[in-house]
Amino acid sequence: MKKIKGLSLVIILALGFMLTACQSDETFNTDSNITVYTRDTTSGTRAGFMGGIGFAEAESSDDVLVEGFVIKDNTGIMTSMSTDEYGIGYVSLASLTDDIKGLSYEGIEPTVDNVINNTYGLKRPFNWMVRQAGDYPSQDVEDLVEAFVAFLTTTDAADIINNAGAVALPATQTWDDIKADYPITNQDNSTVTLRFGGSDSIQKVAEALTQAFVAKAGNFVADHDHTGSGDAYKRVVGSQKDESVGKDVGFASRPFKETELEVDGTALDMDQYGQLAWDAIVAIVHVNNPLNNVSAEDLKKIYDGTYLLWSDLISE
Amino acid sequence: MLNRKVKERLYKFTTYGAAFFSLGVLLMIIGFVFINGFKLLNIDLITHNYTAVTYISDLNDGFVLNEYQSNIEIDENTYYSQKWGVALTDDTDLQGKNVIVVTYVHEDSPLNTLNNKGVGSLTLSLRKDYEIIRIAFDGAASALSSRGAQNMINLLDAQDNIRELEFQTTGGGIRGSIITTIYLIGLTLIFALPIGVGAAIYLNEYAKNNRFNNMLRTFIETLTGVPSIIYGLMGLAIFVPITIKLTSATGGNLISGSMTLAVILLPIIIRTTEESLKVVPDDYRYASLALGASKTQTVFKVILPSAFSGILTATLLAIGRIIGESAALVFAIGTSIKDDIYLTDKSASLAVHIWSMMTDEPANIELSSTIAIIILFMVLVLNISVKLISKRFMRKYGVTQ
Repeated sequence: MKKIKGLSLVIILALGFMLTACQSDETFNTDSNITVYTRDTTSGTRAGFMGGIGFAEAESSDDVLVEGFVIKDNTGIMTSMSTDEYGIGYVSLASLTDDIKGLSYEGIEPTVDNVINNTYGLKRPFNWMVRQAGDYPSQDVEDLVEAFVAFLTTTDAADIINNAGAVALPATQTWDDIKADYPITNQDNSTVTLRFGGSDSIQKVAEALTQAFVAKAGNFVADHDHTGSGDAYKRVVGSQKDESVGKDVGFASRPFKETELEVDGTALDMDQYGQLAWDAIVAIVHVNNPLNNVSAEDLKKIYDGTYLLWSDLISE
Repeated sequence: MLNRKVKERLYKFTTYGAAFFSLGVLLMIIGFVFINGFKLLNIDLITHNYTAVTYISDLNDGFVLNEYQSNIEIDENTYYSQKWGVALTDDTDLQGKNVIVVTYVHEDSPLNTLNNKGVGSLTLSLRKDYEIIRIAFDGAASALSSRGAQNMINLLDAQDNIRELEFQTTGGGIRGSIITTIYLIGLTLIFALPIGVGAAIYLNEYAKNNRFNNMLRTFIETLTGVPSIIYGLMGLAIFVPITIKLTSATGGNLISGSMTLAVILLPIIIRTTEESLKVVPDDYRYASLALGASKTQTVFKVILPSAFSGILTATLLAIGRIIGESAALVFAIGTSIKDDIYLTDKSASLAVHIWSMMTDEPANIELSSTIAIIILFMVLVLNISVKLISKRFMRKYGVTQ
């Protein structure tokens, strides 16, 4: 009997402990400080966001940001925004969930439709880069990469890109129209492996694209290893291209830098890189935050430290 | 001064508090994992491949559109096209993503005999449980899976021909990762157990109490505290090149991974085995020697069987560590999730699978929690079975500890 009493006491206390750990407050105090969350300077999302709100100095420097900002990765910002009531951050539109609140930008709601009809303004390009002609593991790989790049310009690829949450560039021709130019896709390629890498923001889109293209191009093997926009150049044409992490196609979720468009002073071929899609970036806050809309100027003032309190932004 | 009774009560309450705190944390972890992961937990997740196979197809010449009547039950998420004789449902796949699943195809439907536009068999047929990715038409916007089943059926009903139908098998399963984990457990134990047990026997039975052996023991104990990521670096720098040289591997592989894990496990196995050798009474040794057995016979025929349950405990701890290790494996094997597992190829264990789901954008917390449930379950089963085995073994040899 005594044992049971002790045990039940322990369980009750444990449950109580769990309940108190889960509780949260419901009211939003506008006099609170704004906690500013940002990605690190290698992030393509950060470059797109800072460039988009007219704060280009902050793309590659932390010094111009408001004091006390917090650097997190994509997932970190998402989880912080579901717990930190007074935080603000930004993520790619494809990442947006119901646990957090995505703000309208200049009065336009962040929806896929608004990005497709080009009214939503805060966006960044998704780019691709391939190896130099003759620098592939085999001729089959080179031919397949060439076919893949051509596939990116078709309506079929545009469908897949839109389906995966990004926004495709306008396209008119279908893969059926151009596939006769790429005879490699008619043979069985199941022993050929293509290596894809670069930005992890593009991973979902890239995987959907290769999945569709594998079926169209003789079931080759697509090996995806996405580590960040910076590695697109490095592993495709740069210093790591001949190591075991080398890639055949690299993706970057930001414009390529000028230093990334040349190797040892020689400019890359024009057909070695290009854009495949647009992606929208959304400023996010906690669901309790009464704010619904934000302008580029507001965001710049938050990130450079002009606005320190939520009451600077929320008038009521 | 507090009187003695109050003091005692205070001490007692502190122990209660410590107990409820530990239990609370444990319940919170299990609760979190179950709340998040339970809805994705099903047998399909365990039996399915990670990569889905995609097919592209168009219609056979001479197909007939008709009023295909059906008597299937239609629930609120399902939409049926009489014209094409196909029912589609909004559903979530094994990873919790929204997909459109085929729930019914009429037997005379033109979608039953499709031309394969890819390489392979010439005809395909759309069957139940396939996921439709997109349907493209001539001169009209395509129907995409992200817009939902109702939208797709409406667009389909408005058209009389299909330019391209793209569908896939169910993907996202963790079968490959489970097999990888089992391979890793087996291989690592093959590497680690003989060396670990051997080292423990040396230290406890043969080693003289001199400075060298004391230093050896201290070094082995220090190994326990080295973070596993450092072992991972060592695996990448030493074991990966060795296996590339000796086998057909081209990068990180299962063998280099298990070698790395074996090194991580050595101190655990040595420590636990040594502890169990220590508690074997000296009387056994003297009795065996007195009967004329040699030192080696004594160690392997008398001492080792008595220490069996300790070695079993060491094995259990080792397996737990293998299942849970991720940092070292990220370096020593790589992170690509595979369905066909080869010893000389890279692959992902269950823990690395979680890691890979969490580094996705956005992180897949639900699926990670589901895999966590499976890992917890595996550890529980191991725990219980090892207890049963060692109990039976001890009864057989009449050894009690």
